[in-house]
Amino acid sequence: MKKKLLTIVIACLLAVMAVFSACSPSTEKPGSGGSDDEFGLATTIDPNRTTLFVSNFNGGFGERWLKAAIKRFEELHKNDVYEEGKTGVQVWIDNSKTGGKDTLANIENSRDAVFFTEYVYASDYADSGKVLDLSSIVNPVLSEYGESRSIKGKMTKEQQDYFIQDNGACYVLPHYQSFRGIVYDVDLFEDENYLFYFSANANNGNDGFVMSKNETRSKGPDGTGGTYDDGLPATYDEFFRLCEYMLEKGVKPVIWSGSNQAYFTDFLAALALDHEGLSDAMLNFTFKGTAYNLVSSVGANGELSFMNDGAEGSGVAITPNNGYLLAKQAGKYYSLQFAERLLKKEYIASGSMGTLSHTDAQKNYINSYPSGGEAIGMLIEGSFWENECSDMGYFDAAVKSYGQEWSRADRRFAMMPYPKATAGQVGEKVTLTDSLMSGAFIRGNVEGYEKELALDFLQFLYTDESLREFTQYTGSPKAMNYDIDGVEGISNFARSVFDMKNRADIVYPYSSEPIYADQPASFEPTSFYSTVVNKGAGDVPYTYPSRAIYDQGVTGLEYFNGLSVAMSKSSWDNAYGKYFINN
Amino acid sequence: MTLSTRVKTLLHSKSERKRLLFYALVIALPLAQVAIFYFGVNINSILLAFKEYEGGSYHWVGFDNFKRVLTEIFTDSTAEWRFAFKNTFVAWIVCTGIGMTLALFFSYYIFKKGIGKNFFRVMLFMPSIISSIVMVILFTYFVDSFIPEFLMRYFDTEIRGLLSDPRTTMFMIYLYNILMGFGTNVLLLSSAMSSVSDSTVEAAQLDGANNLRLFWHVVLPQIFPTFVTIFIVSVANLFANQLNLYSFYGAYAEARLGTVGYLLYKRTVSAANAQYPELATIGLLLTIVIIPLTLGLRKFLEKVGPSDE
Repeated sequence: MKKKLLTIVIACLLAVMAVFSACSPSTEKPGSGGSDDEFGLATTIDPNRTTLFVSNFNGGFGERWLKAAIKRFEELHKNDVYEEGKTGVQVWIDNSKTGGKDTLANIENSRDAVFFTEYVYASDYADSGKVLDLSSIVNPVLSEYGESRSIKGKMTKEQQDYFIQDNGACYVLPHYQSFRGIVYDVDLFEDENYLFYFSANANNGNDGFVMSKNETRSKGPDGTGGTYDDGLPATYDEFFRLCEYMLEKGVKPVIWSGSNQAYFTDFLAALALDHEGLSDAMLNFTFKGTAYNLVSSVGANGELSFMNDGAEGSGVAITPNNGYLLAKQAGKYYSLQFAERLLKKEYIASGSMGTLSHTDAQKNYINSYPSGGEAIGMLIEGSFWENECSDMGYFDAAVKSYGQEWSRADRRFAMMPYPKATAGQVGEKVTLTDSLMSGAFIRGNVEGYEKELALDFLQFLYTDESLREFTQYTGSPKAMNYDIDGVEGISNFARSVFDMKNRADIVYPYSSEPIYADQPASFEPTSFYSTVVNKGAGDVPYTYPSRAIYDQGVTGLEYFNGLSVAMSKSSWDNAYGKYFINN
Repeated sequence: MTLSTRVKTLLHSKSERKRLLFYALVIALPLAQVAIFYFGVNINSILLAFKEYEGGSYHWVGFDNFKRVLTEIFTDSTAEWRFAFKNTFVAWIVCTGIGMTLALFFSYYIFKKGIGKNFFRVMLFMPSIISSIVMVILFTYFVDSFIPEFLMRYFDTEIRGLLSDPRTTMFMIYLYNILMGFGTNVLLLSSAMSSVSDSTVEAAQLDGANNLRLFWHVVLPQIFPTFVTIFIVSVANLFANQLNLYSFYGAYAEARLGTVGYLLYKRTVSAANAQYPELATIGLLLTIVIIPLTLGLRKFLEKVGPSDE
């Protein structure tokens, strides 16, 4: 009997442990559980103020940006009456990890009125009838906040085309912006023991790397001296020379998340689209325009021949009828060549081809330099990484382990501009790709004072002050045009992202074309790399270049050729025939 | 006797009426379940298979989706379907074959009151009550971090994580699924075995039956209906089985690892409105394949199974 009882008790204890271990701390609301809220927001719902419930996707960008904005918004409206019998407002955050699709499915019964989340397919939202038309806050100039632009005026043309309907209605606003890229540790690069910058003098006797901090650096990928990217690798060849140099100096060149190879694949897609430039890159989502970089053949020495419509340099007209040809974009070829060269055991830190999570990769990266062990030079990540790493407490832990000088505020990281595939492209503009498709929207069945308050709050979040504050707290840009001049407290990393963004064209990987709008997930940049390779044992499908190249010995060229097999004309015709246009 | 005469007889006899009522009440529950939880839930999905999404609403398109889906599956330019079907069947054979054999063995061990039987019963069932995400994290940590570190520290042998190493990935996924499927099967089978009467067992033992003969000639025939049920459920679940890949990799498992269940689930998770008809069509086609297979197999097993007489 005793044994039986003991067994039941142990089983119950384990079950309870399992239940608690499955709980996510991200659902914690401001102040619940004896809050130490740094913004002084109320910890319980105040019955004397009008409450607005807001759902926030609490991922890499966290919630501090939202709390800071709420603090100002509540102060601004502290004497306003939205609801009869109540003065002032209280905005209450419901953190979640629910993506755009599930949010839309359950939105009508939610208590939240305003939503911020990821993977929002704007066309589905527009069709659903479940979200509010935001045109009343999107079109007017934000003059009450002392600004001369409207929210619409802060969007790019591509964003306006996608988010604003033909009838002027707008159901979703672009939220934050995330670029995949190579993060480097500026302090490590400038350490006298390492000095990982290229010199302006390629024959300086140190294999072209600077020998002192003061030595003039090379011009970098933008081809212009005296700019933010001086000394950084301008081409793929230089990037791999840097990797070799790091190895010589006892530094492991690069780390990334092993458990989620989509991070690395997203990075390759960003590299590919940078090579293509804005116009050709957008063809992958609009299927409307001319492609100038379609590879017709690859020579024995890797020289490329290009398709054209007959005349040299005329390119090929792309329509929904021949979208499969985009599998031949040169950028995809070059990105796979880059992957093949990088995916060598000696270049990549332990776990990057294993099950290392993205947050563990961040932790290992920031700790590698101060730990005195093998430092890691670069991290392949999204531009939100620094904020996420900070929210995970890794910078604080580094301070405890290695000292105050390793705090987030004292360290300098930066985003490396993409090196160019060939020397001929050095000096071309950077093209960045926004990778998360995040959006902000309001539940459609809000009425009366709740509707008015929700619209006021959302509009407030798109004022220049709120946009800058967002960057201040997250270290990342919001997907709007604004500057951060004169803003204090922005990390070196965030400034480097802005430096690059300000010089770049930005690809928003979506369009309002029916072929895209009906199946956005099929055209996500990550899906560029679905391939089929036959190495003698029949066709084998691969989704991630890193796994195929590193684990299976597939070459970049084999992978590239397989893209056109996977996206063949017949499969394209079968899948997208209904979108074909008559010539 | 015609049907109408038979019905009249039934309704006139009080005892027959009671029997009919009892039968109706017994059958009503499963019928209601099928009506609500299959047809009720899936009716929209079935209709969707004959529609397409255009201009913000769904329109009838007849069998267009079927043509498109069948062309996709049979031409299979990405080779994903071929791998998905192959993995689905291999996974079923491996997980059901090994899993059921081990479940029978352990259930019999528990039935025979082997040492630590209650401990095994609890431990084997534990994975079924703990969150699958927790189990996946524990398993991943064990095979990908602990084992390589252990081998490095004590045997100076460097190996990759067993889940990361492409040579052992699939084996680890099968192993995990066998372990996870264990608990429920052991619980069901050991419960069925507990209903085998002691006198039958004693009689067999007096006749000189050893453990193996006792299992084969006495226990197995008596639990065979339970065994068939578990087996049939695993067949019915064939195309829904995603091998816990979503818990391991989210939507990012390598295409060569996928099963039909995983492929379908992954597509559904990221689908936009216009993609639901295609997914509904795939679901319907798979149902058309699996229903006769399940019913046929059940009939076959009932015919060839051991008799407890």
